[in-house]
Amino acid sequence: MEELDNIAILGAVLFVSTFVLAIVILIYLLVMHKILCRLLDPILFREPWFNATQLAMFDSWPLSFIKSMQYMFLIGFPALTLKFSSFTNKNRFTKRLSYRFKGMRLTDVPDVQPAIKVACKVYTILHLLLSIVGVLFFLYLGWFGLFEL
Amino acid sequence: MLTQQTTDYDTVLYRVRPGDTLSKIIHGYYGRIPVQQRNTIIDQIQTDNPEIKNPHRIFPDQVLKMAIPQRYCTAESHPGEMPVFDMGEQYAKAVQQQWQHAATSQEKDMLSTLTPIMLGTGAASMTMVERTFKANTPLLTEMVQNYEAYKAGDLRKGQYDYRRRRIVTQLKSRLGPLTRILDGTRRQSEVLRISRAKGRKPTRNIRRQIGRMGRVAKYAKAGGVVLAGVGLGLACNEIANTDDRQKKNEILVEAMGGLAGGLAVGTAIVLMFTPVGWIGALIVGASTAIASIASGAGTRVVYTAKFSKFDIASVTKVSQLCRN
Repeated sequence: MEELDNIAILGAVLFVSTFVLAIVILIYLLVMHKILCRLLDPILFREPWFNATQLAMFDSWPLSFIKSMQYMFLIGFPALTLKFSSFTNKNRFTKRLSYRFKGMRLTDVPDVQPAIKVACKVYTILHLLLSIVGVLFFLYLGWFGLFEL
Repeated sequence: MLTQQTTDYDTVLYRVRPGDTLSKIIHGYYGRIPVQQRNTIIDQIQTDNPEIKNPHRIFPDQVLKMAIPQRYCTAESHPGEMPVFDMGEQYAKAVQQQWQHAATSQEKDMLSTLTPIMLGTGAASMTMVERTFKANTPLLTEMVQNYEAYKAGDLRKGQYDYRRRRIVTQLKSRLGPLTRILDGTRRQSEVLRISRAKGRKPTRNIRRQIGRMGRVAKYAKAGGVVLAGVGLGLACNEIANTDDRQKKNEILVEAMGGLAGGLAVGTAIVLMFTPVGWIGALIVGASTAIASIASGAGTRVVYTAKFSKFDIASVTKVSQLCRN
């Protein structure tokens, strides 16, 4: 079999890791969505944590998955999520684009079973990892298109 | 308070036309009413539209949100009225916000044309189709009940006709472009007619529409799931119909790259922002779709240039899985 150069190996690693992570996250999200909607909707899915439009939007598939992702960020890393939410909600560049748990304090974050908490932490880390690997994969594709073709 | 009795009121978005005053708009809906009542309504409009500082100064193209008692929402629509889906307050608020952000008159014209089109496309609109049909099914049930009440002698002919006209108009404005899904090019009043044929239930047509609305809502919900799988299904079909080994592999890596890239960008966007309204949700959906197409095409190019020796379709058994 022909030897692959380093550039090709880098591309393969990025592609495989993005693809594997994407599939893992897809399945993980489907499972967690089922669990969290039943568990947290009665507590969290209301004003002022979500605005009126989001309550209408995130009620059905497929946008309801965004709501589940938010739950997992909040349960997994509450302090970090609330700090970031407060920044995006107030920042003049992002406040029209983002609205997350407005006015929520750490004491308002619901207490859940440790297993759910760990699962949410794992999901958030995987989500962050996929975002980083995905961006690197796109950069690689752009770089490859510009300099290797 | 006007807005507290939400069940008796319709939320109406009214686009101010040149020469309009609040009194004139109110007269258009309520007819002649005492000055005191008119002033109360003006106060209520000001409360619902905080941007109106002075009730004597409203501007052409400004959009006003008004709660109008259902009995004043006549069958014929008002000239400045905009179609409102039955998302009630939430939808009205979202459209009004987008409207206030649009700067020029052309932008506003464009937005009013584009909004229903945008709402009719993309994954986010699947949610909207489902919700709109679900929310409006009770109107048709009400139509059947009205007919039965009329036949039982509880309603006079005039009352029944008025209620029927009102429901048809409400449905037409609330469903907007989605009406086409139900009856194609036929008029709503024709589709919802009472059947006169012998041996048939008079309300058969309306009941059929109720069933159809329920089914469309269900399909819309499932449609999103199907859409997600359509790309992979098509790729599998293409692989099955190609004999060329190289081509099979290119299709496969393009599908895999598209799926991975789309998901990666989607997750990255959600990590940074959460869409605030329908337009934002559609933008997130569109960005994910564009990223998916771009990464699919990019992966195919990289594969052709660097990895064409590798028969991924055979190694992963995809060529066996996707067969005619």
